[in-house]
Amino acid sequence: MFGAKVLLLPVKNATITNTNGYFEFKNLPLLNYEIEISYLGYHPITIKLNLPLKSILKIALASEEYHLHDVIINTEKNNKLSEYNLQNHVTIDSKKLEILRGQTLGDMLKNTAGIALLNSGPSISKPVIRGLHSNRIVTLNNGVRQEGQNWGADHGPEIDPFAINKLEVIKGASGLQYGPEAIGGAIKVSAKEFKTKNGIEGVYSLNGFSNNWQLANSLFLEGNHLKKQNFSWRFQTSYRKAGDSKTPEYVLSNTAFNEFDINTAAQYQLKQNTFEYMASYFQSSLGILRSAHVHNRTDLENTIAKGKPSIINDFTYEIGRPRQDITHFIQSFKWIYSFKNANKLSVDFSQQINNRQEFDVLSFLNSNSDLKDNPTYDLTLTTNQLNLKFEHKKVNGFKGMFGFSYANQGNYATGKQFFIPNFISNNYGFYVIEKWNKKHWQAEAGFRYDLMDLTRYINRNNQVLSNVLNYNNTAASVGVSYFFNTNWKLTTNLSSAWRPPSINELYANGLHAAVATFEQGNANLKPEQSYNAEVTLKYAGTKFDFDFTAYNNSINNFIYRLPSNSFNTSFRGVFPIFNYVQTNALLQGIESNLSFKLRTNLSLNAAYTFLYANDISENVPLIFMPANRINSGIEWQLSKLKKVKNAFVQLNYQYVFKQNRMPIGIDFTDSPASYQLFDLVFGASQFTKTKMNWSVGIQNIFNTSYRDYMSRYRYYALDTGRNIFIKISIPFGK
Amino acid sequence: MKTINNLTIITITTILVFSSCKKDDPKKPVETNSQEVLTTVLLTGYNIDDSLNAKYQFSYKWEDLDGDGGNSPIIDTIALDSGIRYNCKVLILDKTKSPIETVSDEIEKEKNAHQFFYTPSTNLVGKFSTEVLDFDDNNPKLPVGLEFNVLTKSNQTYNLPLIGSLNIVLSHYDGVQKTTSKSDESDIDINFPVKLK
Repeated sequence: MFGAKVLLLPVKNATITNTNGYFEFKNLPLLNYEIEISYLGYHPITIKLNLPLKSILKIALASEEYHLHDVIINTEKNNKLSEYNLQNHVTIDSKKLEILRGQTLGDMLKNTAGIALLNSGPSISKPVIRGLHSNRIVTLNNGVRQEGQNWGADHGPEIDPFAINKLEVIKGASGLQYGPEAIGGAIKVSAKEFKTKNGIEGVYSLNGFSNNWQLANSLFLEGNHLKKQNFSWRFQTSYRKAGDSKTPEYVLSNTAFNEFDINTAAQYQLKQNTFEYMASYFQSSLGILRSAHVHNRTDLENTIAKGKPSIINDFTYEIGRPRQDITHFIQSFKWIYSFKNANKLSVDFSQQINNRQEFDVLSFLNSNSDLKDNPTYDLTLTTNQLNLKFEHKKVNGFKGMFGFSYANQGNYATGKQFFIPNFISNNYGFYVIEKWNKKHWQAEAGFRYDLMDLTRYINRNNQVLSNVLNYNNTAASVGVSYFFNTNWKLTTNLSSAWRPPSINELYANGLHAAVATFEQGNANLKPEQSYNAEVTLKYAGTKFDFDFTAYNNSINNFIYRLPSNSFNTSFRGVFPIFNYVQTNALLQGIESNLSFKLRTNLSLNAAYTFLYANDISENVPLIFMPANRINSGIEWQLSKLKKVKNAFVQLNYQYVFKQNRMPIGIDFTDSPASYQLFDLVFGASQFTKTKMNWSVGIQNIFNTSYRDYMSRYRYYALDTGRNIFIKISIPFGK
Repeated sequence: MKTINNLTIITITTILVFSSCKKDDPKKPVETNSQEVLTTVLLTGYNIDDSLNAKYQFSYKWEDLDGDGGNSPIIDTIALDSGIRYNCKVLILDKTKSPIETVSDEIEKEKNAHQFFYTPSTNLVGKFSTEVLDFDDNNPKLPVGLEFNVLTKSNQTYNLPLIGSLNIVLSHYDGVQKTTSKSDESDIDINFPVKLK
């Protein structure tokens, strides 16, 4: 296999295999080593070597899935030692994720080039990929397309961060692989793979954070039984509790949260059959910054003018109103049949039930009635998905697959106020992907067709009214890589994806308390269509690593909210009505990563993200696009310390520019100033004689006061201040 | 044989686990807009110096029966005679309830955390003024505003009729100390047209 990445541990030399599949490291002392081999679309493998070798080593990689044009990156890249990332695909194992473990999914990703965070206070954050987020990104949770009320900017991903053992981001239109909506990209989170050796083992993790006095802990157990190691299971339960967060100047009142999770999975292998069952339950209560709940435009303007929240109370773990209560249940069943000739058939079925309850601030308006304990909105979204996939073996240099997927979704809305209606939708998708490689060339191409229907149900004077919308569209992708030599690689890719208008864009009709606007949907919206073109040049060497990506994402019928000239008059005041309108958008960007090994134990890395987003119909900047940024870090490996193993010190630096590109007269305030943050982490994998991973660190060392442009509550409050953390994880069993 | 047994067990288990109980049916939506909690702000008043004279008694309403969106609210014009001292009361009603619920009673109960503000438009300043009559149990006592006087200046210095407006804000002090200025949380914020005749 040509172009597989080979990492030599512990010295961290790297190379890639040549066209015959061989690799070499020269002038090595005769010692014990480990090599880690990874290749795009295959599971990475780690092998122990005792030099000198007595025979030629043959290494086979297990195919994972198809990654047509994926630019896959991981958080490790910017946080740990330099990675040789020729294949654009790096696996973060639990060891590498350890430093970020226990933080939100967004926090794990935020230092990566091309990624920003959309925050709704300290308790809710979601990733933004190249300027796009929410319903423009698909999240795959252990192979299941995660379905919550994804459209909401303040609806975070319902995933236990402790259960993330591997994290990947696929940037750019990914409609082929992940179906409609993935026009901005996809996020794949995976749990630990099933244990393959007989026995039971586990890990207990405990994290503490000073800023909100958060305690988070998780117990993970896994086992493998029966004679031929053909029954495996895993179980994880996590709980976290956090109080109000703090800015450098004041407490962010009512930003406490808690979360409880259970994740289980089992695998049974029988001859050529593999059966997997997985179930997970997520439950969370999230406080929303009290002062971010304004009743009308005048209140909003008064709060902005004050420059700080009007309600600041003492620190507490109590969660008052406004509040979100969320539960998310997933179960999936998968059957894989491996034919003797290496063809493979897989069938999986999954079911998800997402319940979201939002509680607004109480006032005399509802304190007396029986509505007091009832949510303002109560939405239950049930999703069933079926996927059939057939993968064929390699024939004449071609390998590929085709498949069918079906999803059925039902939404049920109750509560005191109306925001989105009930609906039932069906989605049928068909796709085919083929890949080919020969010598220096590698190519992949694919096509997908989707058919959708969405029926809305509303109740008017006890009469049920329904109407149906139909959509169908195609997504396609073609990509080519050329390997100049073992160090240089050029990849180019063209892809398209589409997204039907989401339920809020079609039918929203209600008040948005946090921004004092009245939102009105538009059932005549057309689907968004994205055409993405990009080029990546990569260099991977022993001392120096570099990549550069330029992309051009053109989105037709881009949907956004625009204030209309009309107002909604209500008791709470006069609200500007926002309508959903469409335009043609162009998002162009550059992402670049660089890492440099100064000495064997000292390395430096930097990432740069640049985005230029325009409404090309009106020739004005697109609103709410993340500012350009630089992330960099330095890591020092302390190999000679006594009593600890694999000790390291990291210093990370982030500079975020001011967003100067925004349309005039739409936002309530100017964009916030640029800011810079420093983080420091010290960690190791042993403490005295006990084997355990631990780290201590400080985020925002200098307690800098700042507001991020993508923080939805920047009108009301600063972002969070200094945060000291301690993380411990203790493995046990065998 | 053993193979078949295992497969059967797996299949049955799967069917059992996935045969979910029927939840709320999206095809049977409930009406969510009917649960508005106030529909009507009613201003009533009379001439203090001539309390039985029906000519000076009034009742004006600001009413939105179908909640946010939907039909526009019905808003009366407050028509007052000049040079009169009126005593006024504000009543807040929920007409979707049967019998009609007097929401302003709730404000009376929570008067320590609420306050009405009456602000005439600039062209009415000096010609239309208000004076709150009721106070809460805070120490010192602070105005509530469920009952107030309106003084209209006699028309010696300006021409009639004079058209303006009156802004009524009900401030809610939740988690903050009540003061004599507005809070950042307005439970009610409405405007009445005003005509001095």
